Amino acid sequence: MDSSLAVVLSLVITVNPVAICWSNGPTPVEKKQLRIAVFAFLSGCLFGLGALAGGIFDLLEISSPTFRLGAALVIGLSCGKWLVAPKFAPIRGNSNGDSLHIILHMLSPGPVFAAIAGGGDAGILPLLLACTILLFTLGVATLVTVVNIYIRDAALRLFGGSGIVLAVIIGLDAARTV
Amino acid sequence: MKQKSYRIIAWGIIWLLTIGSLRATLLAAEICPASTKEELHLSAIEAANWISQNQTDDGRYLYEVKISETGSPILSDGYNLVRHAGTTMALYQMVEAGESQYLGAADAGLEYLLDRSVGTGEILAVAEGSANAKLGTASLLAISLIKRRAATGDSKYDQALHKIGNFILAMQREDGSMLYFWDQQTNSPVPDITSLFATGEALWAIASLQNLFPERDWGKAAFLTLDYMATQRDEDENVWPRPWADQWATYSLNEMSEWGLSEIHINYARELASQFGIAVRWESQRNGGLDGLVHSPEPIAAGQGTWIEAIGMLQQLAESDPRLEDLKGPLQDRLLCAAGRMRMKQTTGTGIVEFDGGWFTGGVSRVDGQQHALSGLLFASSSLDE
Repeated sequence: MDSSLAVVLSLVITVNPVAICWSNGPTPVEKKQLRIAVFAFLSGCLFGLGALAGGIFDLLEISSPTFRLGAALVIGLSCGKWLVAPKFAPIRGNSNGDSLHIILHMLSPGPVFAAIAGGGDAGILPLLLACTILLFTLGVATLVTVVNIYIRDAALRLFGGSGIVLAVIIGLDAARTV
Repeated sequence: MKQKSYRIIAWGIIWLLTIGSLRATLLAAEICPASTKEELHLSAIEAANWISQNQTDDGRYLYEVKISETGSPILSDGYNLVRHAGTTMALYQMVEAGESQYLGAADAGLEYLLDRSVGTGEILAVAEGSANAKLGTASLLAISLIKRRAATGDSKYDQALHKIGNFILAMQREDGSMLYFWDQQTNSPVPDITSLFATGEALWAIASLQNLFPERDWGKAAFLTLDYMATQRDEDENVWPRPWADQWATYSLNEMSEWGLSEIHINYARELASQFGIAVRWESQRNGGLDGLVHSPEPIAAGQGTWIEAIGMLQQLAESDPRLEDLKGPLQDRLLCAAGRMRMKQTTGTGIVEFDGGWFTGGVSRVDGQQHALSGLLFASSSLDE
């Protein structure tokens, strides 16, 4: 898989917009605006972490493909939870609670490892593109209201399953890298 | 508020568990000691000293030594003629690299092989007594003779080289695969028995023969076997993971680098590079801590030596073929990492000739450990020229 495509997919899938954008009930416009601002900040944080990939690898004394091998495991496990337990940590519609949930979710090991692995493998520009696409996806998902629990569960599981497949692809690619 | 605190604590615990468990396993530090060109070359010299100083008067090498409970050497009775030929080849690599003091030891090792030459007027192979002659011994003998010729300019063994080439061609099947044994009683190859190791050794020999004697056109046979190794060999030999990490294939690819390698061959080189690359990365994470749970057991020196040889050859191939341009940097990194680690593991300063210059795994050192490591260290050292 092309490394630029891998960083885009791994970021969007590990963040899983369905898990943090689709509320149980209607969300006021102001709350949506706040949420998008939080998304923008956190996407910037992920970009920053990915941009520091080289320094992080030096600090840990590991090579980029070795980090990707570890990242594949983290991505697989973090996406696996969506497949097994799609109702994990639902949005409550409370502003403070939502923001904390979004921060803890987007800065959890899955997205962070995906950003660093992608930044180290694909480079700054593909990472910037991936973070921009991630922000756009989160924005679109925030504007869409889906209250049907079955559709939400199915979408969560789809992201979870895709993440596991992607983790296998990234892991195999890392193992086949010099 | 309380629930928020719980969530933050849970988030922190998840991070700690993730980082901690990965750091102890998959993300353990890759320790790559830095080495200068001189340090790597000196390490190769120490290995060559182990080989030459433990050689007996008839040219036979010390095959295997164990460290006893009291710390004294215990010599093994076993011997392997293929490994003898490989060790002789490695000594000639040293001579070719300018270390002419090993010519005497290499020539003695060569005579040991030639004293055991068998065959007809047209072919030459090597065997102990009436045993079957092995393809690998003859192939490595051929390369030894070619290296000797390159280092000394002496062409007295050219006739022998032609005969060994004829022997290798007689062992080649129509699909490019190679038979392993030659039956001295019937003067013909033993059918249906092949060898994972010998096929690549034979390919390197005939590719080298083509470059030395282009008028004989060994190239067609070489391409036939290279195609077989790149596309069919792993399936026939039922090896996994594929491709089989064959350092002889990398010597061959490098020998054939000016012949117009196809995309299939270049892809094969890429796949080999990834096999050896991850082997080096994985081993470099084995540093005596919890990482040992995942990264053990330590491969023997011969195994680690072949990785350095292979990466050295692939690095040279990447230097000459622009299609592998993107691998030059990573291959150089792995080459120096593996060579640096090998240098640090070498036994030195004991004052015991059977120990100094060798690599011991589990208290045992075998001659092919020194052979492969020596070759790899030479390549790593020469890579620092550029």
